[in-house]
Amino acid sequence: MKVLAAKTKKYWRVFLLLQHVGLMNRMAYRINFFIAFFAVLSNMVFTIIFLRVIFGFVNNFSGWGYYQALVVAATFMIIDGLLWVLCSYLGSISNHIKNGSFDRFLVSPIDSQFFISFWRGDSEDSVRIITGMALLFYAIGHLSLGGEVLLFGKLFLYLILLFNGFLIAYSIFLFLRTFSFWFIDVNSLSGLGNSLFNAAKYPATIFRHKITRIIIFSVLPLAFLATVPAKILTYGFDWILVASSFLVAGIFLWMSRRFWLWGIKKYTSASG
Amino acid sequence: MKKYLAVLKNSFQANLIYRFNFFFYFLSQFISFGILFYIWTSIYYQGGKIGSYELADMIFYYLGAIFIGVVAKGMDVAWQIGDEIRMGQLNAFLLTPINYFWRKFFSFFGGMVFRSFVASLLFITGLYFLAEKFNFQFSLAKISSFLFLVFLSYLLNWLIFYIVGISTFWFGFVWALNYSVQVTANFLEGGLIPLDLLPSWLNMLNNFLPFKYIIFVPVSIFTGRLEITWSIFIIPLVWVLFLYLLAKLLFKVGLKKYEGFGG
Amino acid sequence: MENSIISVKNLNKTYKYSSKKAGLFESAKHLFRSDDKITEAVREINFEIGAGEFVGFIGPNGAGKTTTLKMLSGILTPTSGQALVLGYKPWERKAEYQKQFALVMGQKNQLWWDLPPIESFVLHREIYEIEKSSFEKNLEELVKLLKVENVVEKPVRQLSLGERMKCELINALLHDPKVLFLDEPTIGLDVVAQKNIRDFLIKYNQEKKTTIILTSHYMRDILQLCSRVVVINLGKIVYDGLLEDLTIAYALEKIITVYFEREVSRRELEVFGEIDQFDGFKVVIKVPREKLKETAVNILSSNLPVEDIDIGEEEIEKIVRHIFAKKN
Repeated sequence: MKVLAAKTKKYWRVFLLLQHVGLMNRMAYRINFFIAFFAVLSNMVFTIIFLRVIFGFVNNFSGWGYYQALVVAATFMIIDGLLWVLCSYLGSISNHIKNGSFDRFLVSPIDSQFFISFWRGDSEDSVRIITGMALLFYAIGHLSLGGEVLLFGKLFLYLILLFNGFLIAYSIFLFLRTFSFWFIDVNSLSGLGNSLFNAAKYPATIFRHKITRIIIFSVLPLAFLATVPAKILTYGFDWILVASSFLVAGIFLWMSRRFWLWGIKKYTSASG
Repeated sequence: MKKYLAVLKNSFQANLIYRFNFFFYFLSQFISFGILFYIWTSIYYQGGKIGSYELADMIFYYLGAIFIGVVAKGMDVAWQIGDEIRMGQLNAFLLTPINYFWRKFFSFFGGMVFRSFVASLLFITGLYFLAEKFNFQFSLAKISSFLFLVFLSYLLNWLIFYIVGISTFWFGFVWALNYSVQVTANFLEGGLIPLDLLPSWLNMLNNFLPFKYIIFVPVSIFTGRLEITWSIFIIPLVWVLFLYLLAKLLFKVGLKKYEGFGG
Repeated sequence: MENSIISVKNLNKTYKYSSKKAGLFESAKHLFRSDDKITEAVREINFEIGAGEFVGFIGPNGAGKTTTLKMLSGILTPTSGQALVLGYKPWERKAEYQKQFALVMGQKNQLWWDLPPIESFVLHREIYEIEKSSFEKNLEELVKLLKVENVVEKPVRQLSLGERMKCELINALLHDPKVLFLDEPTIGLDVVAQKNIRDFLIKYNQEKKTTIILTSHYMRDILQLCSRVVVINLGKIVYDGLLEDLTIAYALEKIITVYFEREVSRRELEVFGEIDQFDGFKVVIKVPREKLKETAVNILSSNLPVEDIDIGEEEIEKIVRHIFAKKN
């Protein structure tokens, strides 16, 4: 038990250190921070404009109202922000393998998946999380979700489900990036992943066909990223969805880790 | 001229080598289109019109937009150029007797030709399925205007992102600006939503920018929503010329700054 | 031998890679299938290394030195055979093993590029769970030994190659490893930097009794640092023993390169030793080791218009050829 506590402490300290180092690294390029902020902001603005225009003509987007749809978009932005802040480094795995600088992740006495996921702490990207939260509170402000206590409870559950969504998104990205062990250039595969990921910005109810519905809720659980947390928050408790959220998150975390470890095994026995 | 053809051939060949890249890229475009399809069919669930667009109009608009997106934007120009400058690889290029601008231009051109082949096949397939639901009058004038405008779209987009790429001379790192411009340009081009659905003040501003000629205008010409007039061609051509001159100027200025560091 | 720190038996490493011919048509074919070729990088190698030894692995490029080191540090899993370092199988990558060794590869950066080395050192401390007091003691000692007091606070990208390498070494040694693997650590460095690092390594090995394996294709590295040398060629060990014995057994000669101010005739030079290359303004002469001093003195005190003189070792490729020649 003591060993576990010490280990947790070690990983937590390394994590904080990586975030700190990452921030210092980014400070090296100041002006880009402002441009990046503008990029994040404009992305949000365009999404809002899109929804506004749509709702200018209809008042029902696949069963969702305007502010409810904004909650979905905000949830997506927060998850996107979390991915950027905590584990943007996954994108560079293939570069490291190409340059031969991946070895450090194998030689150091720390879990390779942890190390490479959090290697670049990008605290600056927390601006994405903040804008997402601002949008969230703006949207909630226009909905009647109950008294203080009820609202607090709903938000708490919402945040947990959001975190599940983050874990699922993380697992999917890790899974895609693990292909770097076999293919030098996984950028287009990741591009594919990105296209799919961006679909999660919209309520999953848009997928009317039975087959796509099933896919969105299982094999490629985009629904659990933004739609499910938003639904629980704005439309009410549904224990099946909540339980499924945990189940899917657990399964995906486990699968992506297994695949990652397998990738390492293959990499160390094959390459040069 | 021969050396540029060699560069062209190289880039064409390089495209074949990255087989998965090519496959996944098209797959991701297909998926993007699929998602747009779902979004709009949901919105049109009760029928009706959005602005002057019916569902079929909207689907067709996005089909055209994605076609142009693939042809004109399939490669990350700014990222490549920015990376070359950042890594100091520019020196190698400056020493060869080929003008950097044109060398870059032709190296991307091969990719565009390649993508256009495949994109055209998919586009025509899509058209075939939609033509039934859709009163579409094919006319030679519309099609040839469209193709010419798509070519201009490629030039405009290439020039814009070439400029973004060489901003590395000043910013050191192109990522943020590249992303910002991509997102903003996409919106102003009508890639997110057709421009005639946006408020008029936005459209007025947009008239001073080249973006609408990249997606909105060509697609609208093809569908007959906009009439073919001389200005449809002249204005983007003027923009191409302007951006070309701007690009050359900025490169010259930036190079001086770059050399100031000793390379 | 039971006291071996490093024990390697019948180690093998084979790679597969796909070959692709050039040309547009070939590229199109490659879209659909790839040909696999096999390379044997390391073939049936055996050796034992005891505590505190400083062993040099030398061989031509591609001989298998780096592959061997990668297997001993756990980066690669061998195709067959056994290896034990400090009692561990390296490719199991157990944390307890990883905390006891260090790997430094020349020209590969472990340090954060845009930040001062000190930031990387602190991160290293956390990862290797180094106690605060021993971390500070080690850091101080190493910085002093390598004379980089002014350097550790500057961003790595502003450092010279030599300074960078020194900081890489510090980073690697902060956790007091029992075994140190060095892969071409002096490559690309200027002469002064090379000397500094060599002096440091000698001192470090003597004081800390760390077991060190150093790979290089510069004979000079090996000569100064290692008493024992392992020569690898094409994946196989062709010599394993004391360096002195190698030079004596294979009659390794010294190479004298002389540059002249004006053209000289070949005849004038033949008296000094076997001429390897000659072009009028430069001559490369091979002399037996015992005769080095005498020959150099003779050349310099002669009437020849000597502009510059350089003394070096035979290239490793030639040494390998000697070894083969003698064996057959």
